[in-house]
Amino acid sequence: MSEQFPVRKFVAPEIILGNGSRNLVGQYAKTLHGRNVFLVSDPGILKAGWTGEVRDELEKQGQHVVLFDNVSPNPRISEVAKGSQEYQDNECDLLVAVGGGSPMDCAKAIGAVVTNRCHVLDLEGVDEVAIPGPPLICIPTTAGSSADISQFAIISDENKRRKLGIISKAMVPDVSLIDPEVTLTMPPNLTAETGIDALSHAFESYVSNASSHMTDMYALEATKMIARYLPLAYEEPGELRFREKVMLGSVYAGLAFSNASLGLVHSMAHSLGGYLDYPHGECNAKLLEVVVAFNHSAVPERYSTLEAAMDGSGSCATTGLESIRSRLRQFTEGLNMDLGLSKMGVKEDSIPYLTENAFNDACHVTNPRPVKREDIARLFHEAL
Amino acid sequence: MRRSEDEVRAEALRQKIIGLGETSHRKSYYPQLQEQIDELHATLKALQDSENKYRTLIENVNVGIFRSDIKEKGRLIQANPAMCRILGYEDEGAILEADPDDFYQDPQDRRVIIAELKKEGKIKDKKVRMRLRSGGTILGSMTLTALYDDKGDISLVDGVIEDITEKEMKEEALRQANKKWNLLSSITRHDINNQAMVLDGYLTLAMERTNDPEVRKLLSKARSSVQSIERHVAFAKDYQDIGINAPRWFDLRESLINALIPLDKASLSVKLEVDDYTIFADPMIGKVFYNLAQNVVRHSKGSVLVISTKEEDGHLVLSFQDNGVGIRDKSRLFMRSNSTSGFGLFLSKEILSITGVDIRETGEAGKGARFEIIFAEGQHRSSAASQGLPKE
Repeated sequence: MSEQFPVRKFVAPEIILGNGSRNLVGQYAKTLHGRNVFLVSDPGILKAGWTGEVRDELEKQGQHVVLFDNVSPNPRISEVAKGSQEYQDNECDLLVAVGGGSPMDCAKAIGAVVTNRCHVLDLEGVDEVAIPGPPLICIPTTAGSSADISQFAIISDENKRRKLGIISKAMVPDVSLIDPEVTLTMPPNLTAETGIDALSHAFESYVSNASSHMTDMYALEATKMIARYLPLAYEEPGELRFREKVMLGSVYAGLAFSNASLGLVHSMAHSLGGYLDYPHGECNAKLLEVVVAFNHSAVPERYSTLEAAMDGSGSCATTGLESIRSRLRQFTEGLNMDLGLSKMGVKEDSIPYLTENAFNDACHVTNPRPVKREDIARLFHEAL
Repeated sequence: MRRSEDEVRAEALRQKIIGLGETSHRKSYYPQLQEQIDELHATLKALQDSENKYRTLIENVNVGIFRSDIKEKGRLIQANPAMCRILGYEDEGAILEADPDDFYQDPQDRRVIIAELKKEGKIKDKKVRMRLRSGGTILGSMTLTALYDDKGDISLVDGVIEDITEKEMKEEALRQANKKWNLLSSITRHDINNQAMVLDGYLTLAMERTNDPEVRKLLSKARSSVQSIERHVAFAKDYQDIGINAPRWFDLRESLINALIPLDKASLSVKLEVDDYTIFADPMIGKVFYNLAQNVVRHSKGSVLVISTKEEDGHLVLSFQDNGVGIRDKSRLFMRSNSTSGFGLFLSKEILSITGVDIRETGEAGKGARFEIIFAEGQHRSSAASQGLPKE
């Protein structure tokens, strides 16, 4: 295996991208031989009207629809259990998820639990999903999580206040209907949080030690688009042109990280989000800069390339750690992200628990710099 | 440098995430899917094999098998080759087109059968005169089962037809032969009896007219022989029906009581200690019981007979125990040549053997005879199990 051209796999769902693509949901449900659809969503999306629109589209095609909208911002084990029970009770045969990362991850986990007849905890880890779930169609309503593209599903263990990751190629959805129009209803703070999540995906997959030429291409393009258009979408939420670009950036970032995996930012963010039940994007925003500082010495030229991409240039007029740190800080400040973990309520004495959970998370195994427990603890301190 | 456990674990996970190993499967292809497809193929093949097996069976049997649609005027919708052969049609296509009334010599029979089927749901071994396509007649034995729709109405009828014309003819011939034989036997017995009676009369007269003890002794022996002839003739009458009528279930106690009515109760006291059982036997079983009881008086010289039942390893043992002298030499018991007691025990054993029932003598010489009749499992039922049986 050549290090310059390593053997890598690239997996993606069938992607239908463009304004109005959500209207194909009925046709695709039919193509996938669905008759009785389990529609997973959350109260916010339901209120915004997208869930109802999708439901109408499905019913127009003769599908029977069972709605499951009890999904929290960080989907929980109990919600997966309830969803899988309802799926079976109603003898459904197809999953449709409408929403951000939460309903989509919840739907992915429900599917795997249904076919494997197990508890969701049995699926934690890499390649633990023996039998893929039923057909799954995703309609993302945020531009960030890329749960509609990735092999990941992250579920909150509400009892232990941690997150568990299900990572398997079998978790890649069948169809992703990516429709920038549905992101128009996102408020600016959610646009910023989810956008930063997408930027973290691009950053972490680019420096991942499992990256490839294909994932590099998507990661850099994603970085360029998000860096340029996320602030614009944040400023002008109603401008579809900006939404389209941010959505495209998110899709590219999703293709990159689903195949190259992530790094320490996500391990720490999962630990933090599980402990505080805090939005995932915001957790990432608070950790990205400190992790870049930790990793920089391992892959300085990669970070230079990312910095150049943020500035919209392809050249690597290298600058160094401080330069990229200030570039990131400037970016997050522009989105009014309130940095500092202490502002989220993290206290010193929580750090050992947060550290242990972050260390046990699988994302950091592809971090460019090997991670020890004490490194994580130190970084949590720095981020306070 | 040796890697730590954490580093080894991290590398293993990294390799799995890259996903080039055997545990990494896409949604569209995974080993379980192939397993399910293989399983489905195996099931389909098994189904096909099973269908072939039953099809061959149905096509090769010698009895006609059909299904008819009662809502389509009883028209056949399926018929096996034997069905076509029996009724003289060249193939299934031809018989399916035929009017069902054409299968009966008297179409009224069909209406009667359908009415009965509606009432009973099933008809077994119904003898019907059937009409061949050529117009000829055969005797068919028909067994029908009704199949019902959601509303509980008969929708289809599955049936089996056997051509019993030849069998019936043979049985009839046998019946006729037997009837003639019995008639001949009866006339002959009658004639022999008459002649024996005449002979006995002359012997009596001859005895009255002589005082010569030698002659009287010879005449007495001649009379004994005449009486022996009469006994043999009487026996032939009793047993002429052996094996003629089909075995069936009998109430044991009732059979015993009926069989022992002709006994001379002054010379023999019978104690009946039998539990409630029904037994499967030849209709002449009563003769066996009578013969065993009669032997007590005649040969064992006993005055008391105890008839009792007990179960041994699922067998029912019916025991006849008397208080007589018992049987010293058992070697020729139940043999035809043991004619001192007539053919009684030999024929009793024959009657019992028709249904596979065994008989043995287990008494001790000097302490009385004990005959045991052994009904194997399936040849007897306790009263609880025989509840609901029609009383024969």
